[in-house]
Amino acid sequence: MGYASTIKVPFGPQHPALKEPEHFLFEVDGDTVVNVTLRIGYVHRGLEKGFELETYNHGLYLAERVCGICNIAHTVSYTQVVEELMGVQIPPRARYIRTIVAELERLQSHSLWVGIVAHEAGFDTLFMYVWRDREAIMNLFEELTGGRVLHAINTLGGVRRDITPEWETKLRKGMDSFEERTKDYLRIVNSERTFLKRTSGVGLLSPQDAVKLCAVGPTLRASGVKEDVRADDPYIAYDEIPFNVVTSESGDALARTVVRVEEMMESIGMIRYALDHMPSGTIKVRPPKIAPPGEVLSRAEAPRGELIHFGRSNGSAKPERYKIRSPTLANIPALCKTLIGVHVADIPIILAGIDPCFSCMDRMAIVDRRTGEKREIEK
Amino acid sequence: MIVYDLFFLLVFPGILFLLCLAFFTEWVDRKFFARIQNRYGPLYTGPSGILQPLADFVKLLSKEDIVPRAADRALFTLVPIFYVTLPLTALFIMPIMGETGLIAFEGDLIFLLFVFGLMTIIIFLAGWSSMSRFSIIGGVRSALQMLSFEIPLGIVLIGPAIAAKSLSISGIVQWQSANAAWGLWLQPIGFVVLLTCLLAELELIPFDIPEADTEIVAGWRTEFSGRKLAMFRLGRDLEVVLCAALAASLFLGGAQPLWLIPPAVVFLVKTIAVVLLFSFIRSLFARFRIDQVIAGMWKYVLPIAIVQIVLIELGVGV
Amino acid sequence: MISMSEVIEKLQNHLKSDFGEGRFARDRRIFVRVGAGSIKEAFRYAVQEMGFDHLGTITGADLGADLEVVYHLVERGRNVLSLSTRVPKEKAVVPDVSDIVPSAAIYEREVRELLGINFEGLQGASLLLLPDGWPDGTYPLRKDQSFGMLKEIKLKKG
Repeated sequence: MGYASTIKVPFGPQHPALKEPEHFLFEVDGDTVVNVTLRIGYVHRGLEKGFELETYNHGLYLAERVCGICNIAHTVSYTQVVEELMGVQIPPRARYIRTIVAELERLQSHSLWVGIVAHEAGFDTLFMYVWRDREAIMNLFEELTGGRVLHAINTLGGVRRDITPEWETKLRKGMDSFEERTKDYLRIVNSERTFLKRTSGVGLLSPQDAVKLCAVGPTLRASGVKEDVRADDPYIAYDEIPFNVVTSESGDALARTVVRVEEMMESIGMIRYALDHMPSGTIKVRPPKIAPPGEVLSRAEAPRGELIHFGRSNGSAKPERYKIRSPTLANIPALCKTLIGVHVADIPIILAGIDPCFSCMDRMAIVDRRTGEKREIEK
Repeated sequence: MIVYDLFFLLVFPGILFLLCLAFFTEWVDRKFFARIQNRYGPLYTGPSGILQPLADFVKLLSKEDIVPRAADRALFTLVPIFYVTLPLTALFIMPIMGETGLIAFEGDLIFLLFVFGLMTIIIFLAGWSSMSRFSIIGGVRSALQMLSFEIPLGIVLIGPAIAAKSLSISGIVQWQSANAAWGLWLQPIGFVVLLTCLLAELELIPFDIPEADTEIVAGWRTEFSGRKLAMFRLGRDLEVVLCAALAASLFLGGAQPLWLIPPAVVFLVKTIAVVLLFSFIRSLFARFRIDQVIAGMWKYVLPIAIVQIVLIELGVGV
Repeated sequence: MISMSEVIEKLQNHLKSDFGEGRFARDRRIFVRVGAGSIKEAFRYAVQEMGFDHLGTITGADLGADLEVVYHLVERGRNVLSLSTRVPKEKAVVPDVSDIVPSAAIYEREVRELLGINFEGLQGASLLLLPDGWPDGTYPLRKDQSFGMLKEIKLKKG
């Protein structure tokens, strides 16, 4: 047996750096990563097959549970697909409410992420502060929708609950104070020397690589590529609400942090605009039970990037085929590229950089019995 | 008298007192750290959670003690014991009751440096004997970190010794009290460097790379559980007390009588103040990477320490 | 900036025969079907010469007698082209396109594991999603696999 010059360090499926299980196998030479192999599928639940089994209404519940943090992006996408298949137009007020809720979700997801990245860098104080402020948004959600995490506010044909004037006041106040805090976080993230040392220049992704490897979302925008589904392919009310697409030139972990914090500022502005220009009227129309044959592709900008839902109907009450591609899967090739050649200590920060949501990533069903046997797998 | 000696050794300022002090400082640290982060910290066990560290210790004692199959059994079992006894022994040379420690001799400062070095070797052996990827990396990082702060630490500890013309901690405390001067304002650079190096020794943020939980689980402590982990936590608290007492004795005057206040109380106040300083710094920063620590220590901290010594040689701060 | 009908026309002209059909149901959504023989050329043409260089994902579907592969290509900032082809189940072979777009590999592996379409030229025979010991020839997403059947699968040991 020879003397191995590289150590294989497994990251996952259980690891404190990963909030959800995936298996990354790093080959490490000293303190530098030389190779990465990947195994996913640990939270595979069989959703794509599950869609085919039940009606479109039932599929709404499945779509929501693809991911906890970006559940609104998934339900927005799903309802868009089904509504287009059925030929249903939702009322304008519903579109605006969906937009407000979607942007609130972006706020909640990005602030969760800032906390996580701070924690990965060892900066626990920022982590605690950000999550404390995030509670305000969770409370707002709970008041409007009845749930802190899974909101179930989107339904086929519109939204389930309307915005009351009391909630609107609370929302405005909440946005004001959250904006103050976000400005503070932007300042901290840009000026705290130890944090900068851990994130600046770490995990570089050039714009050419980002485009070639089809990265999406803040990961792509942090490398300077100005692409955002809300601007490029507007859906719900995004064609009527002005906003800036935030990019950064540096393409490192710091850029990804700054892009997300600045996107939070943009979201606050968008929510205010939507509240100011909220159309009146009904919030829901009644959809038919059956969708005529057809196929629809819907794109949404989830907090993590471009989300694709592709649905096909065969004229019955159940979908023929439903496909979901979540942003984390699209970012995996770019992630593997950025991981080569970095220090072991940078791995969690880079992993966190794409904002991994592995439960979004593995959706397909395997209801099986695992043997629990794990082996080294080559790519 | 034997009875007195036994009392001093075992109760005050001996083992029992030191253990209580260790738990107390852990509580202080956790509470302060939590408060800065807008959290409660320990709350329920005892008034304001003061019994929480003791509760944690007792709970850990009762947990299952798993030894990994590949681990070196002998080392694996011995390491936690050494980790507790080394700081405990070193604490005897600290002046607590009065201006002289329980055990004081010329050169006990050097003995302390030796203990610090031993502790790092113990940590490395802890990681090594666990035979787990994460532990080995953690142990190696710890050793690397020691390589970087050991020399500045030694240099800056000699500073007060030169000023006091004594290599005994008790001697330095007596000199500070005799001259009504504290090392703090005589050698402020030395104090800052000492704090930095002590943070690295204790593996506190920003230097807690060896046990960075988000990267390598718990570093060199990963595989320990049950009683062994309890020993590690206790040893860590004792080490904190040791380092705080060291900073307090060498630079803040240590256990001097202050009007009618007994020296022990003064010592306590000063030590806790240093512990609070550690906690405060801990909450402010993110964690450095090991190569940044080594580079920073050798490029910045070491030259600053040398500047301090040069200043002393030139007569400043004596 | 070319319109959607121009996109379809250009593809049709480029492929001549083997072009199945092209249509668009709404703004920014084009659906084109081509024969299996020219799918790689259509893909290459769309990616490299028509500007659809962002690969959204690759969908596989079980159509009963045939299996279908749909490539969802995005023209940055504009249209989405869903390029599909059909192959018979007995001979489900489609060329691999990861030499044109590297990230196609990860989507192709998923389709291969779950539907059993063989992507000719795709590197790496190992499993990405399915657990080790998954029986060969069992493709979960095919219509003939019910949940009941999937529940009964025993993984091979060793």
